[in-house]
Parts: sequence; structure tokens; C-alpha cells
Amino acid sequence: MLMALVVIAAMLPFAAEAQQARRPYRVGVLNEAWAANHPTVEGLKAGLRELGLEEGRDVTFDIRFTEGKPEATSLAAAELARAGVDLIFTSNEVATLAAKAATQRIPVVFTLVGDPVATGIVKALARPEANLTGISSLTTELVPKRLEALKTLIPTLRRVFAFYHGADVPSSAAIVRALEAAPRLGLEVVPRTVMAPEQLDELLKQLRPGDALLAPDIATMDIPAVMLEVSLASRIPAVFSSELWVSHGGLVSYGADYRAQGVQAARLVAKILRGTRPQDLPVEGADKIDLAVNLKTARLLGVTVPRKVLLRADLLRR
Amino acid sequence: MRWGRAVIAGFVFTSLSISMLARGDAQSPLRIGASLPQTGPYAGPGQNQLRGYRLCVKDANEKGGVLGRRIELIAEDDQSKAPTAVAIYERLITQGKVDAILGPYYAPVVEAVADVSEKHKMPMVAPAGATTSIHKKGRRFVFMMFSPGEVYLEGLIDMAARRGLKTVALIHEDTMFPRGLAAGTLELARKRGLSVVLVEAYPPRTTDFSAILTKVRTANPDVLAAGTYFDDAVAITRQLRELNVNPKMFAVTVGGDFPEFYQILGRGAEFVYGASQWEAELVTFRAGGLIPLARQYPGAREFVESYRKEFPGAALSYHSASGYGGCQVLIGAIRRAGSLDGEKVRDAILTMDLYTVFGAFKVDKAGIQIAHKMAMFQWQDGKKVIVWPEELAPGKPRFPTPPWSQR
Repeated sequence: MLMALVVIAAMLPFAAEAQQARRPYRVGVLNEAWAANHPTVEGLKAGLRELGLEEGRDVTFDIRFTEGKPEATSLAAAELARAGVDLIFTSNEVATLAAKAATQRIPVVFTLVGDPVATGIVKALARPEANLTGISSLTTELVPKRLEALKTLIPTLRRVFAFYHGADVPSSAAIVRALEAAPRLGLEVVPRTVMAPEQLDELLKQLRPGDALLAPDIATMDIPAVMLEVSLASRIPAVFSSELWVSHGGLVSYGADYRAQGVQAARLVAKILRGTRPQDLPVEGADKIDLAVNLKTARLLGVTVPRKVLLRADLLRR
Repeated sequence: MRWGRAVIAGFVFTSLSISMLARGDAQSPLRIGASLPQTGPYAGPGQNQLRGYRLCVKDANEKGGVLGRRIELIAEDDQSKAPTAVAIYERLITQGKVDAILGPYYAPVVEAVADVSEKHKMPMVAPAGATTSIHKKGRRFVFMMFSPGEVYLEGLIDMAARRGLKTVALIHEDTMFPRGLAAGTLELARKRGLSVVLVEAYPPRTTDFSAILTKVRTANPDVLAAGTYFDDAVAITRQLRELNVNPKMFAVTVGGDFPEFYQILGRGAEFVYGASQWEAELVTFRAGGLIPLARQYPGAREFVESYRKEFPGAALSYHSASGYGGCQVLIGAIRRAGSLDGEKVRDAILTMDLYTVFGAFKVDKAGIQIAHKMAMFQWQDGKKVIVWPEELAPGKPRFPTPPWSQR
């Protein structure tokens, strides 16, 4: 017993030293949420844990969220770069471009980016050729499918309003896709750019019974949340880009799961923290894309969900 | 033919007299009766619940009352004593002093009064009952606002399971509500693969927990859950320190959420988890940091503001919100039923699926709440930080709880 104690006591300083030898990695996080618990961040943490990187012990997070204010993003990105984090983990184009502008040295791993090449984030998906790599949510490409889902649920649908922040480049790209797809689906897509919250209230007055809403994938100025509110209060069907919105009352969504993108990105983050260069890691397409339908909201809106949708949907909220 | 006409004439006469009666009633206020502890051990939460009732009645009157009548609240003091409460409700109902009732505070009182409401077929929304056994005795007229005790500690078990903890000990006051809570928690723990290493019940008004806590220390569980009211929650926390018992997570149920819990224990309250039915700040939360929850608490922001204005300096707790919400449900049901008829109001309550300032409301056929959701908080630097449901909570649990020697 005494011997054992002596041995343990002798080992203690070494154990402490070994722990000190590698300080926890510091991951900076940048997104547009209103709190630290954006699902991509939760996914990242869970993914890293599975890869053996425990929060606190092996990795710490410096989370900056900008509450839907794009103008706050550049400042937050610069702060993270100055703080000397080991890696910056971003969600959406605005945050990723801000991180790219803030540093050419610190690796950046992005999520929720619809088209990383078109938005100038990377030169090529296979070889990013800079300090950035990440997950492409494919959200821009999926816009026609989103409209199709809406039309399948409501065959009589004619007009879809799309409100988006005028300065969001990817939202503009999404609108182009929506306008291209509209005639084929027998729909009229009405794009409306918003530059200030008061403007959104004004524009919402243009909605008429029978119209529907296409929500943007970027939460600038809280536009998707406002659209969700209006959808439920005025019984206007709305389609969203991800399941999170459907689990909180949105009628339907088609797109990459936010949390799953975080989990997927964790593999890239872990590799980079352990020494791989970001430019050697190809950008990955999101591997979990779901069709989600909220049946309770369908009932509220008087939408009869066709059997083929019930069979096809990955997630049904009752 | 002549007979038929007589019936019609009779019918016309009856409906005329009913409408005359209704007109007569329209001038008199609609009275809602309740008893709540305004003195005695549970006066704190009881008063909060009463303030909720008062504010709800005031707001409803500002919107024109119900059935065209002003609402009047008659509230008496039962000192949390069941016989007193029974006598109050019985008198209010039989002497025709009230047209409807709202529930009292404290589970045993709710159960005793439930028999009165049952006897008179007068629906009772009970904003303070969380005991399912009350609803499992064939009663048809009592309705729960709270999440039932069985799920109070769902968050604790979920957080523990997610963090790979393996063992749970459960101690609880040996009365109705904590018993249901204990049974439910055991079930939740088993479902999540945690093994229960100790269950101990203690009589009400216990002040010395050293024997029980020594057993807990021997069992050395990862998680300690205590089914408490206020005084026991304080005493147990204090004696855990004295006896140097160090679970990785420790939670209390009722009592841990009162500001007095921290005022009395100071730093000793740090790291303690508690269950809450409702917190004012929930309204400001966003799911996934993105989707505002305000819609699930319609009017809650305004409720908090007008409560502080109406009762300056008074405590605001989930009892206040549940009181307000319970009164909203009753008035809403009377409005839907278009009548004060007990059966009709009951049917209206059973079909309700809505949000009040207190959150979701929907009951099953037995009147047990099935829609409302609990939250868990942890005392961190003197603040109650909501840490569960993790999807909604911006705060993170400080885990594991360090041993007393390192706090």
C-alpha cells in the first residue's frame, strides 16, 4: 500500500507535465446566431468528442455570434484572428468571407456555404488552394427542389414570395435559381429585397391568401424567423432550407441539416488541428439532406399532405 | 297538433325566461373563487400564484370580461391546510358565492379540493398540481397546468446520460408529489441506462439528513437527485457540504429555484441543478440560437412587464406564470363553451391545444398535462442559468461539479 502511494506520488509531476505539454486547441467560432448554441457548433462539439477531442481538456471554443448583423461579422472575425486561435469555424458565407478577409494564415473550416466557388471562398472544391476548406450545404442548388416540395404539398399554389437581405450574395444566387425553376413548376416567384426591418413589415402586407413564402438560408435581420411567425400567424405556407425550422413550426424544408454539417466538419477540423493543411482537404458536399414536413402545421394551414410526400419525407413532425 | 303548439309555446316561454335570466346575469359579475396560502409555510409560492390570478382577471376585464360579464376574484387564505381549503371551496360553491373556481397551492391541498370540485361538477384548473395520482382516481373535473412530477428531472437524467454517467441515488420527501417524482425519475434513469444505487424517503419537516446522506456517501453515486420542497432543499445542500458528499451532479426539485435558496446558501448553492416549470428569460431564448421561442409563450413578455408594474418588488416565479396561465385556460374554456355549465367547460378544456404565458397547454382525458415542457437550470455565479433543454439553452452546465474541497 505504502509502495503504491509512493509510486503514484512520483508519477504525478510527470502526468501534470504531460498535460501541460499540449495546451488545448483553441477554436474560434463565427456565425450569425443570437446565442452560442447554433446547431453547427453543437454538431462540431459532438463530432470532435467522437474523434477524441474533449471540450475543456483538448479543445476550447471562443464563440462569436453576431445576431443577424452582417456589419458585426468583420469585426468579430478580426478579433478572433487577433486572439490567435488555432482555427476558425464559420457558418454561412458572410462569416466565412469575413474570416477569409481577416486571416490568410489561420485555417478556416466553413459550414452552411451554398456555393463556395461562386462566392469566391475557394478556387476549386477538390483543391481549395488557400487556408479554407469545409462543407458545402448545396443550398443554392436545392432551391428548385424546395419550390417543388411546396408545389407538391399545395398543387393549387401559384405565387411564392421570396424576401431576402439585399446585400446577401448567396441569397441573390438562390433567387436566380428560383426564378429559373418557377415556370417549369407553374409558379410565379416574387423576389423582394429587404434592407431594413421596417421595410419587411411593409412588404409582408403584399401577401394574399393562397400565396406562399420561400425563406432565405441566411438569418440576416432575422428574416427567416419573421417569415416563420407570419406563416403561422397568417396561415401562409412557407418552405425553409433546413429541418430546424420545421421542428419549430415551419411547414416544409428541403436541405442540409445544420447540426449534421457541424458533425461532418468536425473531421476536417480534427485533421487540421492535428497537422493537415486545409488546402489538402477537398471541400465536401453535405452528406445529410432531408425533406421534413410538419404535419401539425399542415393541419393548421389546411394542407393535405399527399401520400407520396409522407412516404418520401425523411422527417415528419407530428 | 294542439299538443305540438303547446310544446312550442312552452319552449318559447322557456327560452325567453333563459334569455331574461342571462340578461339579468349580464349585469352581475362572474365570480371565480380560490383559496391560497397567504400565511404559513407555502405562502411564498401561494402568493405568487394568487398574483397570477389577479393579473389575469384584471387583463381579462380590460378586454371585456367573459360572456359579457366582468370577472371578480374571491380568494381566501387556507394556510396550505387541506381541511381549511376544503371548507373554503365548499362554502364558496354551495352558498352560491362563485360561478367558477381555480385551484389552490400544494399537492395535498389540490387533491383534497379536487373532491369538492368533483362533487359539484365544477371544473378546476389546478396551476400548482404536478401529481399524476390525483388524476388517476376517476376524477373528471381537475386539470393540470404543470409538467407532471414524473418528468421534473428528465433534464438531469438526460444531461447525465449524455455525459456518460452511470449511477443515480434518489432521496425524497415521503409525500405525494415527491413520491410520483421519484417513481418517474427512476423510470427515466432506467430508460437511459443509468443504474439506481439508492432510494431513500424521509418524512416531511425532516431537518437532519445526516443518516441518509451518509448512506449516499457510501453508495457514491455519480448523480444525486432530491425530490424536495424548500426547507429540505436548503438543509440537504448544506449537509452535503458538512458530510463532504461529492456527486458529479446534484439536483433538487422545488425550492432550488427560489432566490432565497442562493441567499441562504451563498456559494454553497453553486453548481446545484434545479428544475423549473417556467422562467421569465425563456421567452428570450432561440432554438438553435436562431428561432425565437416567444411564440410558445404568447403574451409572456407583457405579462412579466405588467406583473412588475402591478406588484412592485414582489417575487415572480413559475407559480405566478402558471397562475396566470391557468386562469387564461379557465376563461378561454368558459368562452369556448359559451356557458358556465361544468360539463361544457370541461369538454372545452379537454379539446384545448394552445399556448398560454406559461407555455404549452394540452391535457389528456384524465386531465394530466402532456404538452408543457420543463427546464433545468444550474446556479452559476449567483445566477440561475438555464442549461436544459440543451438545444434551447444558451448556457452550458458546469460539469462535473467539483468536490467541496475545491469550491
